Amino acid sequence: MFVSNKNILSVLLIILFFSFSTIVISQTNNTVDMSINLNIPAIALIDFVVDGNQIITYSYSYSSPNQKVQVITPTTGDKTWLNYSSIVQSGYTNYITAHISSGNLPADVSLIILIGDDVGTGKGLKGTSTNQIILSIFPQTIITNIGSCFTGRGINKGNQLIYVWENPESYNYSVNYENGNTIAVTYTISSTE
Amino acid sequence: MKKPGIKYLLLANSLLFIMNVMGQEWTAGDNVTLHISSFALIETNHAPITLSLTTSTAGAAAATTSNSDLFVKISSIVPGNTNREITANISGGTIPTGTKLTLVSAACTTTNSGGDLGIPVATPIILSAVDQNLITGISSCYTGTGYNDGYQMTFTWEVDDPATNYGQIESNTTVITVVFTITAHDAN
Repeated sequence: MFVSNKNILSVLLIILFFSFSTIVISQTNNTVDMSINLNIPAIALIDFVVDGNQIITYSYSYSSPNQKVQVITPTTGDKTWLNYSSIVQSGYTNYITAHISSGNLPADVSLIILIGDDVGTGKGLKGTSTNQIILSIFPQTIITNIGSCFTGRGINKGNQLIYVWENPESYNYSVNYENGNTIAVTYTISSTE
Repeated sequence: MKKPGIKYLLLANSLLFIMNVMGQEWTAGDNVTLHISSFALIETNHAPITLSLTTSTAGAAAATTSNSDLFVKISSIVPGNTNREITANISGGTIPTGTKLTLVSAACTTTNSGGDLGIPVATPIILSAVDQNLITGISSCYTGTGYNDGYQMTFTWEVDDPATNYGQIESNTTVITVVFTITAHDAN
């Protein structure tokens, strides 16, 4: 008899279990999953703007998003501002170089860039200015250690560039211009990657 | 007199049958029980969602980006005077540092839907590991089954407080899993 009682008990328990489980199913949360891809591509974009008061024969030519070319004249002076946007991969930074990419300077003429500090517009980890270089045909770093940041666009944003000519009298701009020998400076933003 | 009981039983039995027959003449049918189980089904249109935080302009910030391709479809039956919610959370992966992903639902499309479809929460939720309500007050309803039927979901991805966090952004690719839940109906 005790075996039979046990059986009845088990059957009752099973019935109880199923009746509860049906109730639970109707009460259960139901869900659906969804994958979402989030991409942050690395960015290295550079541009420059020139204060409109300066007379420029042609302002710049476009080579690629991470390279810009500016024609420099003795009147370029302090009217150039570098703007950039950068997003870096973990462990790397971007840096900006400048070099003379076309035109020849007379041997007794030097062209110097004074690189101003970031003026505090934009946001993020902006780079460090190297203060001053004497331009040559070889790229030299003008801003280093750029993290993920942006400077904003326009004059008075980013870094001011001041061009200083040494012995400018030797460089006759109008004659050089007529001969197609204007000085062009290329700014390049690259990754340490 | 050996078994008088049987006679009585037979008599009673025949009377019962008669009554039954008479009963059938009067009522002609059985009770039919109509049972509606409460249930809640949820599905999406499986639209692939890829968001890219970037810019193509030197000097500009990475632009806020949005995607509204996803539709969530449900069928729901609830016991009287109860409601369900649709909630969302992140069950897998981590939102990239310095950014936030928000989600907001539109009201259910009307073309193929019916019933009490609830009301979307107006303020976008910042997705996290904790469930948050997207739509509340859902009773018995259906959204339709088409690709663009249901609640249109808008994901928006942006830098979270650029002044503080922009420098923390790193280029990478992340896959996260978002779980949509239609909750059990609340207590009556």
